[in-house]
Amino acid sequence: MNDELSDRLKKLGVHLGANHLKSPTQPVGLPNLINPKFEFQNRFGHSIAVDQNYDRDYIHGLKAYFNDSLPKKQIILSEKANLLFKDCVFIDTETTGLSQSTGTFAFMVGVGVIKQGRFFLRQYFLRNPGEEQAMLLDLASFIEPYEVLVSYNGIGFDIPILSNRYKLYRLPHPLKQKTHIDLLKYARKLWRFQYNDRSLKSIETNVLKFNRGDEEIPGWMVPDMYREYIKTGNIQPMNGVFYHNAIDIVSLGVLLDVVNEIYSASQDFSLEFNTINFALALSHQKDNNPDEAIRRYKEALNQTNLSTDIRIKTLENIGFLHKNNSAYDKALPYWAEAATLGSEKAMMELAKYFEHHSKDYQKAINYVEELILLMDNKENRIRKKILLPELEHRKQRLYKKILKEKEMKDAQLIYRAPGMLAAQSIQILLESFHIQSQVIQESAGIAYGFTAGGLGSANIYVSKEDEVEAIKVIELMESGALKIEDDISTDQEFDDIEFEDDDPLKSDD
Amino acid sequence: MQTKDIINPLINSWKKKENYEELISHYHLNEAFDGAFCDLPTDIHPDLASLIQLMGIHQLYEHQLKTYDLVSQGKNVVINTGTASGKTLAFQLPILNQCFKNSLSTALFIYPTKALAYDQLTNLQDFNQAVKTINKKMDFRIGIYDGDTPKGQRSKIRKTSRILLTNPDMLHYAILPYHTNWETFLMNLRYIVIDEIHIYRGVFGSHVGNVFRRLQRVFELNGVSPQIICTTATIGNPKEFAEKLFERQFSLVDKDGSPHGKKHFILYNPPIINPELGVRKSALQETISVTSDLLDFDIQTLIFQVSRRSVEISLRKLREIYPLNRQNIQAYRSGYLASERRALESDLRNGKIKALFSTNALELGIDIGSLSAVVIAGYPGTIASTQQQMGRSGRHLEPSLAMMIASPMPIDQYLVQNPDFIFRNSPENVLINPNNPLILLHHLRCASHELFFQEGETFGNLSWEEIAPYIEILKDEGNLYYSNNRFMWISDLYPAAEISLRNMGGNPVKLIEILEDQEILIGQIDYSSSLWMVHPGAVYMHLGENYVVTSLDLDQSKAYLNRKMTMHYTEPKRETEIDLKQIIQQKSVNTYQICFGNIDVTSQITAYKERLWDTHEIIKEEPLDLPSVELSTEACWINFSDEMVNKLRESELWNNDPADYGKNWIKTREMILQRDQFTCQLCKRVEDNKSNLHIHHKTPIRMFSSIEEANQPNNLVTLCVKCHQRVEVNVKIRSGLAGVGYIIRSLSPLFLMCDLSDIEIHLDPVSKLNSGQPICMLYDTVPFGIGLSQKLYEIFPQIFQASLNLAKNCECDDGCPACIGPVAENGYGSKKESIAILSLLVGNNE
Repeated sequence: MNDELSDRLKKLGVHLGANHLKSPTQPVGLPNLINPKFEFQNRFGHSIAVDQNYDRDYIHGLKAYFNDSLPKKQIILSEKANLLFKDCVFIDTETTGLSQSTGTFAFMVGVGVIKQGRFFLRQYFLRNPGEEQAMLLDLASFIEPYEVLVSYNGIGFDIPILSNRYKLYRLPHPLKQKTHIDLLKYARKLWRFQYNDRSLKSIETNVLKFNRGDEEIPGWMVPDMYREYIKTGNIQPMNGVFYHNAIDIVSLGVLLDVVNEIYSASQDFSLEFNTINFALALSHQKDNNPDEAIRRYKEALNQTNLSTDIRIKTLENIGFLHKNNSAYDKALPYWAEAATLGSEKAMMELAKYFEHHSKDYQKAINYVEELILLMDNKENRIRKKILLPELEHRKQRLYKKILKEKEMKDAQLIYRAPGMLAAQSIQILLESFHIQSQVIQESAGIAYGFTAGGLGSANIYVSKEDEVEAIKVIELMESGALKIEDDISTDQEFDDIEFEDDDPLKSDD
Repeated sequence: MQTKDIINPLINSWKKKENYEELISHYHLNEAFDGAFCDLPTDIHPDLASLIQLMGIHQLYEHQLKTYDLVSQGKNVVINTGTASGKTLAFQLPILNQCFKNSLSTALFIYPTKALAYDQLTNLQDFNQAVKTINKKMDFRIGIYDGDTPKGQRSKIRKTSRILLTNPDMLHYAILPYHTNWETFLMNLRYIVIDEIHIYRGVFGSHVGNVFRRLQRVFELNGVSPQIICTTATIGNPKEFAEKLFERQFSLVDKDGSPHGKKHFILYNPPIINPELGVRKSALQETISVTSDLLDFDIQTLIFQVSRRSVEISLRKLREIYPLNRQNIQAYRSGYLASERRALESDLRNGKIKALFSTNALELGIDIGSLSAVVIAGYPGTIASTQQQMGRSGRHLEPSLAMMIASPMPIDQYLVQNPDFIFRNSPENVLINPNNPLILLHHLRCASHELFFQEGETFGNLSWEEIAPYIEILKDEGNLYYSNNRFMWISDLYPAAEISLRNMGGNPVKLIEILEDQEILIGQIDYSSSLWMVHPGAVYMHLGENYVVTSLDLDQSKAYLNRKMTMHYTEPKRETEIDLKQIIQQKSVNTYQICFGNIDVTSQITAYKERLWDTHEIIKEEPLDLPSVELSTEACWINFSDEMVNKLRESELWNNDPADYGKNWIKTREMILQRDQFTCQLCKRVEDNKSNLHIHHKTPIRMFSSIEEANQPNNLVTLCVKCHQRVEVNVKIRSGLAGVGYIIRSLSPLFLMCDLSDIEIHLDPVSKLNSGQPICMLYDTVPFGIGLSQKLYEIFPQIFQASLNLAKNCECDDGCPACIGPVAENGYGSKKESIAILSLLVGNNE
């Protein structure tokens, strides 16, 4: 080290030497665990890999997967036709960091292929970073004959990092032209509602029922372990990394089989995963495949182990799919059922339907009022804040429509109250004289919740026939003969007023 | 074109003032220029030709055509023409032409700020719309990539953009470390445009130079060698600077062919109101009065001021004069939020604002439309800024005014006496030092993260031998691993995140006002400024409001302020210590030595003073406990020799004429002699002969308003004759040195062609660096230096001569702000002493 330069830099607060370790000694060898060593040499130097076979008697989790028929098995996950298991390379890398910047490289690349009924695994490993270019070249020729890459989050991580490295060495990118099946994508789709954690390890435990051994090193420790190794030359701790990488890849092979089975719908998985029909349906829905989606949703509805939440979503979504097709008649029963289970979305849809399509305003109002009630009890303040005024607006609009359409065709405005509260008092007063009235509030009052001037005033309408009588009542009220108390419920004072032709006990219907 | 000259009536009204000659120390008129036009080049793509004709452009200015030709020849070009001279079209034309010819070619446009990039984006998008109307298949797909670009759009921008607008920070932080994501863009890259390269000076430029070295490696990886076109406002060394910044050969286009209206230039010197003290009417007051004249003549005016504080004060004062037009009078400076600034810019453009006070924050090419007048209140620190600010008036062909009001600072007064410096001399050279070790180390770290170094590789124009020591350091710190001739990045650090291009380090400090328990962000300033601007107790002005800082939390990078009117302002007190590391060069001149070398400077804000606004009287001094700031840099200094000190001692500077010590002097004298037991308080010698003992006034008599005050016992001390002489000489050298320091410090930026803040001075009459003799030192304020001290080593004598001339020509009696500093500031009038020292430095023995 240039002492003068480093002294000057130290002066400026550059911290040197914190990591200052002796230059690493050459690695002594490979972990004991590892059996056949594959050594190779090419125009960029030499490096090594470790090869292993998983035979048909190998049991991963619950059962043995690798069998004679596996290589010829069809993969239906890709749009590409006629893909077989034997066309796949299962790939996973171990890197020096999580950043996808060009400063990250893979010091271990595990690749697995299925041939002759067994699983062949090769793990490239850089004994020192200088072997990278030689490794990349050999890796490229290993992958070259295969059509498909299978990974877990490879699209987002492993493949870009490897591509970066090919670019930096000015080598052709061998990975870009391949078909890529990223099983993370499928795991997310299928088990989103089943498990909170969709990491490969979680899926492995829950779906494949495989538990890793004590050798396992958690992924987040891996980069530092490699740095430690190249500094010290001590390879032993890397055993765990080899193990971690190997299991990742074997699991990929098994997982592909499971996912493929689920998609091919060859058997019912809903007993094992009660959300899987719903998840599949949703995935079809997103892929714009409504028929298949509806079929899966219906299968979900037939499940006895379906949770209420999922059942509601299922009903809602069937409704939406029919709605998109303008098949409201088909949608209605699903929404209705969802509404009875408390679905806000369904109630809203029903309210819209009855208002705009069947023009059954009363039904629409019923749903809107039910929603308002639901909102009032809601915890979520933001939703409430946004939705409540909207619902109130809708309700008022519906009232107007009812007025316009029905007996209030000849509706007469008899009174303009300064606010909703006052109007409601008058409404109750009128009701006590058996006069039906409608109150319609100016929308500004609903939106802002205050009354000022004409804004927010509430208009009271009665039908033509009741007009004279209603005005009489109101005049009485204004003259002070009828006092409206704050607490309206006391009807005591009204009892003093007598009307000749009215029987207070007579009911409307 | 004949337009009514709205400036003339104003000037005529000034001419009626009796002291016009004294005020207007320089006037000249630049006649209108009709422009030098050429036809469109014949070889441009026919679609492009019809497009620009459609946009109303049928001819080019000469410099636009020249740019086009040079770019077509494959040259790198630097365009150095005036404000609003059509630089944008000059570089767009050849680039768009290429894009028309080759549908894959891409171009990278780099702007120093986000705001400028957005300005250009609108411009280019309009163009793109027009292109589509001509040829539906054409689409330049213009993308902007900066910190505000939504994450969701980034991938698309990376993959499809053909013209990409970004800034150097984004290149450094987000593009280079992920350069493989830009493969398609980079592999087709034909042009890079870097607008306003004069911004890339000092530290920022040194960083940006290294960003280009990193970019260059990525270009090589992608097998491209794009041409560079850059633009700059007036600087002294455009070609040399571009070549240093990009380490390539450049061709210069600097003959401006664009037309302009006639323009009045005025240098204005406020009148002397106290000849004895050399006090002129304050530049601030004069600025307000000039601006109100301009307002009365309905001339839209932009006023540049040197400090944020003066901007705020002017705003307040002018609004007091025009209470009804408050909204037409505004201020603009850094520290305001971006949204506030955008609103001000647009109000200036639409004419709503009649007078805008601004710091140099507006200097950048932000489009503020045409202005009729620019007033520069006080020399902004560089000739280049002065010219740029003056260039802000007179867009289009209308007559305009550019005037500078001199402050009482020596440099302003020197310029008023020598206007050629502003109007004839070339502006400053822009200096950068990309090889500054600290900056270089950071960028080599980033570079090796982006693409591993191979043994023997170069970095810009640095050879492997030059960068190898740094690579070794990176290896030793554990980031790089050497094997197979490569230095591989093995750590998981993201080095680009460790540095900001805009400074040498430190987080910006957020200025927070607490209103109703809510933290309101009112602005931010950088770390090192925060120590002296928003220390606890500091009075800070923002948007015309007066704030007092309640606390400064450097861990959280927050300063808390309270809105509060005060009768005082604050002045931080800085203590500086210098350690000499190494003398690199030294030479003897006359009777002294000039040295150049490396020093370490430790400085700390230790206290602050509260001064009253109107009288500047100190009302309080409070200690502060703030961290010190270390600076390792280059310096150039003068070691005074014994001979010089002796000469000063022998010369008339020691005046022993009997002075009037007041009526009771004999009594007082006896009392002090007795108090001090007839012993010299310095050498402790006991004297029997009372006439050999003197009574010394610690603070000179003339500093007191009455002799009685001066004769207070605590101001008096017994000294022997010899010691008394020594003390007085030291006092005189100290104050003479302060005067020399003041004038040299003020004038040297003019000769070093740098900003005042790029250098700092250190004076010590008894310096340990010069075995107890006086020293006068100037040093670079940029860590490791950017070459100013080195240049000073060559030209120091020139500055002595200019300083001597200025001091001698000044009309004041015993020092004033315009020459060796005000009497009050140094404590002693010291003009004679300063002139004596300067004469010795120049080599005269007068």
